[in-house]
Amino acid sequence: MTTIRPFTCEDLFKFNKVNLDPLTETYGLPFYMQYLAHWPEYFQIAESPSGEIMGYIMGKAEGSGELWHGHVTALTVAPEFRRIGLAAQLMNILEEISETKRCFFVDLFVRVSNKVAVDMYNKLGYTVYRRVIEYYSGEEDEDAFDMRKALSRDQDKKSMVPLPHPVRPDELE
Amino acid sequence: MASRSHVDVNERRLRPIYDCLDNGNNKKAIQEADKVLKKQRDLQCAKVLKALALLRLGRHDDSTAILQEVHTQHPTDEPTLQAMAICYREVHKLELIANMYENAHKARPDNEEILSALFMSYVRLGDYKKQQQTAMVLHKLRPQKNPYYFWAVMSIVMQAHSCQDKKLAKTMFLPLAERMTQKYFKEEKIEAEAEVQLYLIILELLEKWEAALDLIQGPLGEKIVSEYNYQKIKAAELYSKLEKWHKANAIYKDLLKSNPDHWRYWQEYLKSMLNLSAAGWTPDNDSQEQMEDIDYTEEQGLKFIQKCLQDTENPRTPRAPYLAKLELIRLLRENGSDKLHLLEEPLQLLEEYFDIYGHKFCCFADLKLFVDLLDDKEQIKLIENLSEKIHFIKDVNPIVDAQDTKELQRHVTLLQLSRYLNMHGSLSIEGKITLSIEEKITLSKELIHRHKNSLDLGKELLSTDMQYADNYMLLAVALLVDVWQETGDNKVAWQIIVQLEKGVRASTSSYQFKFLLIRMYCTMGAFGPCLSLYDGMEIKHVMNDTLGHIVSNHVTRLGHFMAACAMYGSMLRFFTVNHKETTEYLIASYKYGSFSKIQEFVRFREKLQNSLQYASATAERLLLDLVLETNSHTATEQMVSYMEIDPEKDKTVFDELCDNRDFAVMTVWDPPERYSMEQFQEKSFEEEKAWLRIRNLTLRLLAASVMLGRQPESDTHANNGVTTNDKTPMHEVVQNLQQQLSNHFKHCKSLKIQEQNLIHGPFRTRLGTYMNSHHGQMFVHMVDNVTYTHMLQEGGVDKVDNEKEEAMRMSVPSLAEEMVLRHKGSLFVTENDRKSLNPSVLENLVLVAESISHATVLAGVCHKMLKPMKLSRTRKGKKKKDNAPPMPSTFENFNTLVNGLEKAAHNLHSAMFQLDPLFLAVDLGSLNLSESLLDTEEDAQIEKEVWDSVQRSYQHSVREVTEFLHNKMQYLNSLLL
Repeated sequence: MTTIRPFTCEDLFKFNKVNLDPLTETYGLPFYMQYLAHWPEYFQIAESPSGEIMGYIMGKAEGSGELWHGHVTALTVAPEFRRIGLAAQLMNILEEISETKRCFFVDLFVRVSNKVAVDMYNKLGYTVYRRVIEYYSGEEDEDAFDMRKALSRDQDKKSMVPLPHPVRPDELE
Repeated sequence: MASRSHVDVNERRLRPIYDCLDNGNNKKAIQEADKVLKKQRDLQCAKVLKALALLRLGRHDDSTAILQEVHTQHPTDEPTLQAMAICYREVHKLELIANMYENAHKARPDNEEILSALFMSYVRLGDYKKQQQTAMVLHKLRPQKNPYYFWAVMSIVMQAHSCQDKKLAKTMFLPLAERMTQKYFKEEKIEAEAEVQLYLIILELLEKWEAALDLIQGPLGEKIVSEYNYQKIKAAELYSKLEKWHKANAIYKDLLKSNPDHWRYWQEYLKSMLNLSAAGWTPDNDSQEQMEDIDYTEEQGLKFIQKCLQDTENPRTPRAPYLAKLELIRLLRENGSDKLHLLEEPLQLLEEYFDIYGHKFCCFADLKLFVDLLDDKEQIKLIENLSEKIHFIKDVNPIVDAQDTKELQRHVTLLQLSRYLNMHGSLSIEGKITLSIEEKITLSKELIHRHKNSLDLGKELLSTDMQYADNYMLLAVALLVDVWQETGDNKVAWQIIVQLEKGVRASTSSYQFKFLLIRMYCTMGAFGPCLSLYDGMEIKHVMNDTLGHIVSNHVTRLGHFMAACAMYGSMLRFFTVNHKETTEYLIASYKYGSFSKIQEFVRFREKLQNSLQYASATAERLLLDLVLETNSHTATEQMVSYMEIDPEKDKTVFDELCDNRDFAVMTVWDPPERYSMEQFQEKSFEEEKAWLRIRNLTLRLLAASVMLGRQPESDTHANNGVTTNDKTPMHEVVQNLQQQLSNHFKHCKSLKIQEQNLIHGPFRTRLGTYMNSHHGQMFVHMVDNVTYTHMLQEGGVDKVDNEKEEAMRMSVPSLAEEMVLRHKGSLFVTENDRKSLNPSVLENLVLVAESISHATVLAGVCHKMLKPMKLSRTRKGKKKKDNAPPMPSTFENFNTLVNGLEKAAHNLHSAMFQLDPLFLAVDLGSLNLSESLLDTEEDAQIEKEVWDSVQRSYQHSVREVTEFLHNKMQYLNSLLL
């Protein structure tokens, strides 16, 4: 049980329980504000009945022609609110919005080591489109899966046909 | 064509400069710019690019000189303007950007880009009126472009938002914005979604719900497509506002059909249903209402809940409908309804809920909301019945462990609930009794044992995951904290630290352990281990504001001055950088037409700018800078002029301070009757403000006194070579501030400082420590010495006042002496033949060290004024050898004061050394200051490591404070006349 509503600046003061998770990056304010100013509808937050922040999704629409698509920039759920289908709910909203914007597909990047997330995205209908070498930098660089799910406008699911070879981050369009 | 090619030539010539700037090669950029300027002496853009490179190299004066020159020439070409705007933005001179575009606009009134840039420059300044005017000029220039018109409308809305007089907002600004929008509406000129959104914002601000509803449901409503389900959700909200419950009910019911887990929809659905039932509403036979799906009786509502529960299409049973039943019970009880019999007993519902969701992490949070539907007996019954359901805990001799994570989590849920219901966890309870100390220790040992054994269940987890067993340890720690607080026995505190260390080693990502550890270490006086714990949580950006308090209240207090400087530094950087950068997103909101975000951004920026954390970190950092590296009065004077403090003005607007600290981040299962975090936070905020006021006044008094000491005899301020007489004379400023500080002390005495009994809550400030000793008194007396000395300087030594002379000689030295005597002491106290570590000694001595250094600065001011007087006296004495005037006692008395301070500093220095375990040649670990809870090798090893790091931390504090005092003694030594 959850209330899903648009993310506001005020939430930046309260999202610590979610963001202290080591895989959730805390960005500088400009990053959040850029999304809020440009794609406010793509930035949604889930709140528990007692007012705690459970998780949020942040995304955007970009690309031209058949590459016009919804993109998931960040999706995160606080540890105590995991395994109750929250991520799926948030993804569903992002997909619905992308549908109304007539996008061809939705894509996202995920660490190849994050098996729980990869499995979840698989369940939600996403498949690996390509592997991006050393997309995540850190103490040890890590590869990313670029995963995609076709929307209704891409009837033949052309956007999901996987690339045979991995790509480097500078080759991303 | 000719002029075009001219532009191309310029572009080609400037290209290398741009490239260098982009690559961060600023030196080369200057060379390239000079090359171009050799050929074209007056190329403005090249000059400005050079200024930008100079700026980035830190050569501000050179840069400013060029910019000023070009600025007066009123440039009008895009590249020059853009480059200048970048320069001004980097130095945050936003008003100059506006002025520059105003000039350019005058020269080229038809240029749309310049005008649009002018509009944005007013957005940066928050000048809504000029925004409006500029947008209207743009609109007249390009009447076919809708956005300009709506920029003007939004600028009017912002004038309503910012104006103090809310009546004026409602009667003038908002109706004007409404009329302007209506005009476009009637002329059917509204094009974009953003324009409809803005219309809606205006109507809602005017509370015209009907009109808003018409808009949403009219043809223009179709334009709002971005937000998911926006039209429906907004309409339902508006119907509720208008109390058209049947309409609201139909929409919420519809929304729930596709999203049965949405809690707010359930709340609204139930509310509308109950309102309809209370009014005896029934659908009109002939109307459309017959067709709509509306629930207007309790029976219908329940039926709908049941239907949602039995929906087999949904692969995951949603939690909300279960809880909707409990919520309905609560509402029916509140209304005194006779329909309660339709529902099951809450006890039964809660048990059923546990059966289905007991193994989910969030189960406790859900149940917590409804356990108050049970009376005391039922609450006990609930815990008993739930205990029955968990088979593996039936036998604790020996302890049987959970076999899988679901079993474990069900047990944890039970324990959380037991603690919350104030009966912590025992399995068979006769009445609602709190556990005895012994029972608490026994239970915590059991949980620590379970924690260890259950770690196996999480073997497969990644290092970034938290362990399933974490909560066992956290619950054990909560029990130990109870024991610690009930007995006041610090040995328990060390055991808590050992257990928390064990927890965090098994689950390196669990921040709950880290927060508690930081708090515990700081409470016990050891800041050292906290630094890596804090850094390990990657607390950055906005978290500086919300979480910075967990270290910033301790780091100076415990004498880790270097770390304090670094921490305050990075906190302050966050605030200043963001204030600069976030304006760009206000601009972006106008560009993208995200009008709803504009007010939100403005409010957000205000909250950051007025943050308590920001104000406190600023004061602490400046105070540290002022005393840390000053071992002579010249150095102090330099520091003060570098700080650019205006002693007349408090930078903090106390009435507008915002408390952005986040205390909800810590998980607490304590019974709600034991604490209210809101109250704690409110009280703590009051205390923080009182302490901040002392700090700000201290800082301003120090700065004002140093300025007073620097002045020539004539009591006027020199300001850029121009003498301004409208400013208050500095000695009056000092007196005035001293008065304010004394008055504020009275207020502080009346302030009740709360007990620190909640380790999840705010930590106290140093106000209590400060007020319980003579810190304030000593400081005020020292300021007396400054004003008295100043009077002598002005009026000559004939004005000598015996009473004040005596005060100078005696008061401060004796207060300082007394404070050192009072607070020096061993790090160890012996109670009932048991040794324990006394964490308050360190804090007290550090504060005395700070106070002595403040007194030193003020003594420096006196010295500065007395020295020339003594010199001239001596000279006169030499001339008239025969009847030399006697030296006034002032100089001797001042020397006595300095000697007294020196002696106090010296004594404090040795008192600090007494705290160094190394100096005392003791090994903390061997002192048996704690009593092991569990007799295991692992615990013994961790305990040893804990003692090592605590010992290092104390040594560190001692080293920093003694070095600091060493500087002060040097400083004082140079002040003898």
